[in-house]
Amino acid sequence: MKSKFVKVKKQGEDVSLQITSMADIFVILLVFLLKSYSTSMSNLTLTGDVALPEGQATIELKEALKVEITKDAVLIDQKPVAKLKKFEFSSESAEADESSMNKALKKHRKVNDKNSSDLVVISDERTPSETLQRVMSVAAGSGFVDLQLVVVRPE
Amino acid sequence: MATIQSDSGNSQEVDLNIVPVIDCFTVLITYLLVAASFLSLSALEVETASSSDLAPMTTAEPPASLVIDLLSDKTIKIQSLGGPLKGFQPVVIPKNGKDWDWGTFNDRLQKIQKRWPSITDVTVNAEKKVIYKDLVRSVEGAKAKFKKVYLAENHEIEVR
Repeated sequence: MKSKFVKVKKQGEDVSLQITSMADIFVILLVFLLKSYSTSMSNLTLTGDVALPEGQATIELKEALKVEITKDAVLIDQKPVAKLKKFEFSSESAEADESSMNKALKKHRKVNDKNSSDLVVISDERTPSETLQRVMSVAAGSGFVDLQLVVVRPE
Repeated sequence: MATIQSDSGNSQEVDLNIVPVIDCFTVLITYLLVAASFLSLSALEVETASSSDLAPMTTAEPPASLVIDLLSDKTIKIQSLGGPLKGFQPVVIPKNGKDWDWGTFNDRLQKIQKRWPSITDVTVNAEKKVIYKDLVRSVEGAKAKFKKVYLAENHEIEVR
């Protein structure tokens, strides 16, 4: 009775793995990912936990120096230049922070495009205006007056 | 199963080995999944305005512009700066419940733009505790109606 229900494996039977279906799935996945992979400003990687504000802007980001404001730091070109405590500058190290930001901006201007006044501002939506205004003030002092405020387009 | 025909006319059946192709695909897909961003980002273009830029000029009459003040208590003030705007009255938009009244803000801007089409510049100024999200919202509203939007560096601005 048992022999009727148990499949007996023949000796020497090769079991081949069917991977054609997997190849089909991979092709479709690859096509989709290649399509959604954006090559413009592809090096815009967000460091840390940054929640960008939502906006309906339609202008594409231009390649420029990036300033990122997170909860704990201000980063210029992905390098931390000033420390923040819950999005705010410390009153004790304010001068040092401004000086550090100034140095980083001037260094960038020296090494890269000397005439560019564009700056990409990537800031968390919870950042108080005071912090942003201080960063803007230092940037304006170094000649960066044309700002691009990065926003996320809601779907 | 593929067939290869040799010069002598004998055909041979060859199995296509797709395992290396699967390996390549696996690596490519893994890389793209890690690197791809599913956020669509865009930018609001603004310029920096210092308080000296906004001070009334003493010689020639400067062109009329608007100043939008965002206060900590979620009140929005719209004032004029520069040249005479006949009939313009400063606008105060109180908060709507616990939040900003963006609807009224956008409506007022539209009315101002229609009545005084010579205004092309707007400066957005915010008190220290106003968060970036609200600043962006106001800039967006201003950008939709006016050509140039400036962000003030500090809040101490004297407006006539």
